[in-house]
Amino acid sequence: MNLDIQELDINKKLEILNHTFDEAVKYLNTHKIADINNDKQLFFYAHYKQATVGKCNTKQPSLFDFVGRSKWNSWNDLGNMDKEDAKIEYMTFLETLVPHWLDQVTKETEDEMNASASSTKTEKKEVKEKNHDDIFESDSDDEEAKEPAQGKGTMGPVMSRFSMVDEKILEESKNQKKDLCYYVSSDELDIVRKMLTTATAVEEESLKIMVNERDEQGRTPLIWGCDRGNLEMVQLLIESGANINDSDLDGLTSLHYACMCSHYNVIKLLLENGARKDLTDNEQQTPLQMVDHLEKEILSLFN
Amino acid sequence: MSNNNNNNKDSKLNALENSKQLMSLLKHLKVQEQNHAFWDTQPVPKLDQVIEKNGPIETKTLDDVRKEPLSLPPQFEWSTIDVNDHAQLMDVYTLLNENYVEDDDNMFRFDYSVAFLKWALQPPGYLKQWHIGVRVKDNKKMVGFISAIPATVVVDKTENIKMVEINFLCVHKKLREKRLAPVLIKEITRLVNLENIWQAAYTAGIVLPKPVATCRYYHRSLNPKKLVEVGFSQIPANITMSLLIKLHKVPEATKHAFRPLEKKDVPSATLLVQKYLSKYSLAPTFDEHEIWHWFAPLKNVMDCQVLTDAQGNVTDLFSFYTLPSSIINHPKHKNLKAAFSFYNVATSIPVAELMQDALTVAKNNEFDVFNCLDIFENNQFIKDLKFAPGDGNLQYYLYNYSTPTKKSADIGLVLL
Repeated sequence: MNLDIQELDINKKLEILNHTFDEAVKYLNTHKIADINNDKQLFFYAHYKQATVGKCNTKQPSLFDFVGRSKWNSWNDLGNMDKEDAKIEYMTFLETLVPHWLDQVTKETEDEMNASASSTKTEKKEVKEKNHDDIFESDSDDEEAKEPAQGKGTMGPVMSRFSMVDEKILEESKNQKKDLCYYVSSDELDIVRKMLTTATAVEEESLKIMVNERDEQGRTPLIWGCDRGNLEMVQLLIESGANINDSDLDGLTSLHYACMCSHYNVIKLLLENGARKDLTDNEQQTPLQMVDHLEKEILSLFN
Repeated sequence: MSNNNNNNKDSKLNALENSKQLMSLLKHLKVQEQNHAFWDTQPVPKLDQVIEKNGPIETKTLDDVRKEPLSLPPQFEWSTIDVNDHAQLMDVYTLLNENYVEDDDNMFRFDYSVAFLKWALQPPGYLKQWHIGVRVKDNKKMVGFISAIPATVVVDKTENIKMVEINFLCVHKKLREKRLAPVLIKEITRLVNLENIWQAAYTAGIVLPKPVATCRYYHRSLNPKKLVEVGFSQIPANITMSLLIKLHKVPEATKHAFRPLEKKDVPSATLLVQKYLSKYSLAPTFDEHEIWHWFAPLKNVMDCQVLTDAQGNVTDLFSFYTLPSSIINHPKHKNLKAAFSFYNVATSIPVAELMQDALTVAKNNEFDVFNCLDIFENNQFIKDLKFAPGDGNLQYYLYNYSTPTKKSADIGLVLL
């Protein structure tokens, strides 16, 4: 087949690029690469995400999640790189590690087609040896992750999820003030602990101020912790002197938030630490009135 | 894609012209064309074909149909599945449960229930020989499945076509590269042709030659907290969960006096649904038996509720099916319970009120999310009822039938 790249129209070129990228992803999923290390894996991960999702648009994982965090960082570092560039970089890097990967894929594909199309005896045997002995053992979870999934690549229904939240909202959330409320809302327990410890080191009084610092809606760090339902975070904030019954501009207390979000353990902890059940918000609603009628366990905490 | 954008990408790719990578790309084109070779041999329109008239692509007779099954690689064998035999049905269930469709990030996999499969595979007029599996000869493990069920589909309001709906094509993960899927498709085609049926309807997430319509999934959060926890949706750092929950609250009780569909409703429900579907350019027709099969309430499979007038005739109807997903490797949650919108008809109340009540019923039955496509008149309620776009497109296809491309709102057919 003789083809001149200049003669192909743009859609055809993109089609080739996309297809080859898919093959590269498949190749990496099904072949072991000699001396692959963390950095190389992160490179592939980041460029894969950029190529398929685009600009990094998820929340940074917590400090405890080392793997998640380094993956996130590597993706985030690619900034606005566009999808086609990410695909090209991904394939180029694979090419430097495994110079003939594409030839190998081509050959394997041809072999398979021959194997399934014809039925000569020699090929029969080969196929048998190749898939039979090792294939039907039970899968470990780890192994499963490497198998090509039946995604959108074939006939049938589609597994759709929410497409990523509005870019604008994400942009705003990035520019927001990086204060205690922000880190509590991002579930960054480690950073929060460090900030509180530093404050204590200065003096007890500054801790008291900081732990009750409000955002522009009047929400305290404790309110954010109760909204997110992070029990350890709520515990830490209470121990650091957070005012249990402070309310925001809507008159909502930490207990209101925990009730709205049905966080059973957090509600229990708040009640044990003197949260008042009788405080009402600006619309005269008590925390109990905010509990979802299907949450029987939580309702029983108020009896 | 804008023109500007196109030029930009074009020059980027041209700049690569001399690189090794692009030479490889070109070499690879050959393989790619082999991959597409399968659909090129099938009676489907070419991707770039402009279609103006309706009609079959090829006309064959029973004499043209191969009498013996297609050949499989030697270690495999065909196996007709009797879905009324529990063990055989479980084989299908297990194959799908472990190997069927996943999302892009492999976090969720469809988990069609046993009861669902039994229902979906046995509508009136179903044929047992259209439920076909592939097993490993040695140990009888099921590694592939495909099915066809009979349907009458009306295209462009005039052409009533007896066809089949093809669904549940699944190949074991370990055999994805073995090209079993084309063999399964050819075998089901042969078995359908043997019954003198020459057309089929099917869907796919990818673009194959050639979609009748491209549709988009929309999702309505019913349990936003769980959806965020499992990664089905996300929450920005400056938005409170309570706001998200408040935004997605649905009324605790339905506004209208809906009740489950009963057998006595079937004649009027059939008339109602038939009349409604006749508005669409690609839609099934249902007789009374089919209406009762598809819409009869069935626990954890089908919910269908109706309103009736003073004479007891059904005036409004909503229906959704239950399709959970396994959540892969999550410490707290194992399953996501999703409701999928089926057929909905509103005549005495606005369609948005009909669907609002459907959401309430779904919420009270502990569904986490309610999904629909932008087909039917669904765009009339998608925004107001706080559905949000999904990341999945679904294309509709017809086999051996060309028809002009349609808008998603012209589609009146739901495939499970």
